[in-house]
Amino acid sequence: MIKVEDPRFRHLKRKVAVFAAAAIVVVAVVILLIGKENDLFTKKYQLKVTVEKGTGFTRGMQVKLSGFRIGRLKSISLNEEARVDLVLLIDQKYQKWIRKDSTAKLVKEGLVGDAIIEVSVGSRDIEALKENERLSFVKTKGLDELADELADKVKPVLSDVGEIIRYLNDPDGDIKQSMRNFNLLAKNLDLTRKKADSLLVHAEHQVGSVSGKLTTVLENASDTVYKANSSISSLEQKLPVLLTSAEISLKNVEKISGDLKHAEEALLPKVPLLLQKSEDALQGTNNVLHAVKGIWPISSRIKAPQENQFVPGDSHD
Amino acid sequence: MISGNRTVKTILLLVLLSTVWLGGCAVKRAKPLSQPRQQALQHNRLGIEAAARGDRGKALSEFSEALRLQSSIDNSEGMIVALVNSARIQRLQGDLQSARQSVERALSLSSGSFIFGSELFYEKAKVLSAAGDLTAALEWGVRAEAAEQGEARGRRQNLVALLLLRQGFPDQAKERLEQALQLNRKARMSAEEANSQRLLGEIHLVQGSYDKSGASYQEALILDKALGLGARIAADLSGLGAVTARKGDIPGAIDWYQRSLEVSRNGGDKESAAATTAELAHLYRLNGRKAEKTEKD
Repeated sequence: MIKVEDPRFRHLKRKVAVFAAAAIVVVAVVILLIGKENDLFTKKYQLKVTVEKGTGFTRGMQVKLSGFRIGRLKSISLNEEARVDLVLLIDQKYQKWIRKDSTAKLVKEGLVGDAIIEVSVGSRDIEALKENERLSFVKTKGLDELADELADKVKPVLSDVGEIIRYLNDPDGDIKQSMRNFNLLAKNLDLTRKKADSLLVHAEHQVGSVSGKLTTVLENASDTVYKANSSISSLEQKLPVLLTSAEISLKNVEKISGDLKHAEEALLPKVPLLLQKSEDALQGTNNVLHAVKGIWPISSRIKAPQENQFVPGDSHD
Repeated sequence: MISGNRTVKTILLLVLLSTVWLGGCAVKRAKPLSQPRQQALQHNRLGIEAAARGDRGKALSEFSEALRLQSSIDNSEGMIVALVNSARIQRLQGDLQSARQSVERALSLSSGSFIFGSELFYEKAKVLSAAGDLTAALEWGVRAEAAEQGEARGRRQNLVALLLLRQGFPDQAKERLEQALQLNRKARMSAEEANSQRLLGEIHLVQGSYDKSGASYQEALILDKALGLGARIAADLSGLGAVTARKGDIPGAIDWYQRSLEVSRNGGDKESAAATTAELAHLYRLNGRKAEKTEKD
């Protein structure tokens, strides 16, 4: 029996075996490299943290000390007291820095940066935390809490402004009484002027022998008094108008302040929500960008920024 | 047989795909920098761009922001870069006190390890030289030269040569410059190559080798013209004027100086224009006396 065999498939089994073995070696090397890159082979230990609520924490989020990544959040679970237990997986080599007085807090890297758990360095004379020991957590203020604080500070100021306007507008208050007194004074001045006129006429009769110069002086004085009289009359006419205008202005100010208060009451509760939404949107965009940057081959095209960028210095400048 | 072929092809395809996939995974990604550090690098880059445009005020404010951000994350290397850049701009603005403070702070940050030592020592030498302390400047210039491992070695040697010449050591300066010239050519640093040539021209002139001096100034002029450096072109033209005057050709020298004056005036360099005008006045006086003497003869 004649067996027909294509010469290209001679030793086929051996070739396939060699190729598969090479692929297995490549796979093993790559796994080793990835493991080394992601610190899979470094020794780690666990620390526990208990927080009031789990908002902002995600599994795998970075744990940093002095700005360096030292571990990640391994797990999040709700305990019997309805509080949240976190388990941090920390590289063993950083254990010496995390001591019994060290604290953990949830912070953001910049306005739109990732949320991370930041651990503070403990005092030198205090013992380092051991496996499964508890690290104390320090609460940081959220945007909604900051907005509430701001609202609490603004409210008394607006209330004071309203108080001042009420005081200015009070009919029995100092300002209104002063205005009334001023009006009365203006009326009395008219009376005084009439008395002065009659006194002058009387004086003219009594002192008929006084020189012409004195008469002129008296005439001038009379003119002056006349002018003063006309000024007072004019003031008398204008004063009520001014007072009415001032009253209208005060009422307008009061109305504006009331409107402002309403607007503030309506808008303030929405501010934290809007801030939160904006932050979420930015966070989402940031995540997408990070994800795209991390995709091969794009990731290989992104070069690490250089630190040593100097202004070119000419030797003869 | 056909079935066997298909199996082999499938295996090969799978192996190829898995190799490509794993290769992608194994590519070393650029390590992401923290947000403040990225912002600091951005400000540093904007500062360098502003300095290149001649907007020194903007450059200083960018470097100051970069320094603040680097300082907020305790990154000594970044702080040193921002401080050296600030010192360079402050020195060019004539604010030597601030420049000195920036350099000293950068030196204290490097604390013995001397990160970016060459740039740091070089800037210290430049600040001291601008303040007139040539001896100390030379000491730091030599340190900068020793610390430089890259392409800027020629630039460092140019500075050392300049300081040696100003202190009255033309032979040592010449030796340094010849090495610097080769290094700058090799590194394709044309502006520094022109600086080497100009300084060599000056040394040859002092030593009486007028032809060599003229050739060096001509080389420097060609390089500076290609780069469009107005102030340097004016210096080269003045150098050629000086060489021509020493050779006894006063009208020829006047022509060179006139060209130099034109370049300085149009480039807005009043200081150089004034110096060239003074030199021209001197040459016109000499020319007048010479003409008078010829008439008498």
